[in-house]
Amino acid sequence: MTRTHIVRLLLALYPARWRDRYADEVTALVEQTGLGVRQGLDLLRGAVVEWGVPSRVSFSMRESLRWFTAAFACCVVVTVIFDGPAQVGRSVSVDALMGAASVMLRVYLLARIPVLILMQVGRRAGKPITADERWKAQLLFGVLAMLADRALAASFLPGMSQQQIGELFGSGADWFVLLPAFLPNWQRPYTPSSHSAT
Amino acid sequence: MKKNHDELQDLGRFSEPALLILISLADGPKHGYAMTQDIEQVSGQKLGPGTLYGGIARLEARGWIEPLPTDDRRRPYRLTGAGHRVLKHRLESLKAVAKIGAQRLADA
Repeated sequence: MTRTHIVRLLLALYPARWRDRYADEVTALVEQTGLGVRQGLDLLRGAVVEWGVPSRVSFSMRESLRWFTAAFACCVVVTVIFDGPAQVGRSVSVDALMGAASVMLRVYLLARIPVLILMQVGRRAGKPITADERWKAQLLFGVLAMLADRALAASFLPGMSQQQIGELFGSGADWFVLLPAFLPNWQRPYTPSSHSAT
Repeated sequence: MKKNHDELQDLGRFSEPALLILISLADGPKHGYAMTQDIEQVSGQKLGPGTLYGGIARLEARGWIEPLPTDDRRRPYRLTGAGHRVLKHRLESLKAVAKIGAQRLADA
């Protein structure tokens, strides 16, 4: 087993997202420095750490809670405004909150998919988007997704009553929950030299 | 007295390798191998590939360093404006701590 094979084996232990971005560079580095026991163990430890504490930027719990509350409040307002006067009277009821949660889930997913595509395109082009660009894209697509969701709810099946549309786009649309399970694995498998232009 | 928040400390166990990487990039762009050589020369520490790229990934995710376009597998990185600010702040903190430490040693 050659040194490159061992490195590839060790890199296979890393999360696909990380491997996709840095595997070629690490391989090139090890080709120059050599691979001893110390370097091998360091790579192994790096894989464990990367699974435990991912390097990607994550908001703190406080920030996450603040953004979640703001987004949910927006969804409640949008649900109350767009779902007609009949809903206004029960805006504080569990039904309205469930409706808002459903809107929020759909908007998140609709906004998340184009951002994931952008990230993938950036990685393939060798120019990954920055955390700041990702955040701006998420915000932009979030607003667009909210508009698209409401337009769709307003025009979908004109023959249906407001209540039926509410049921369809309310908690009945929770099949969307299944989608995120597939998203983290939607990544190109690692192949050596995949990032080099030559 | 409210002190300025040291953002580099948020990296926890990666704050030390991250500081070394930032210092290494302070005088210009470098790829991984050049960074390990430079860091070893400056600090005497030889960062392993997992530690080095664990630090690079965290610094890049926070926008403190950025990769430069290249056709080579050895991608160079450079310090961003935000990275420069974070490094400067961290070095000033270390300088203040070192000064107090030296003062106390002298007084003892």
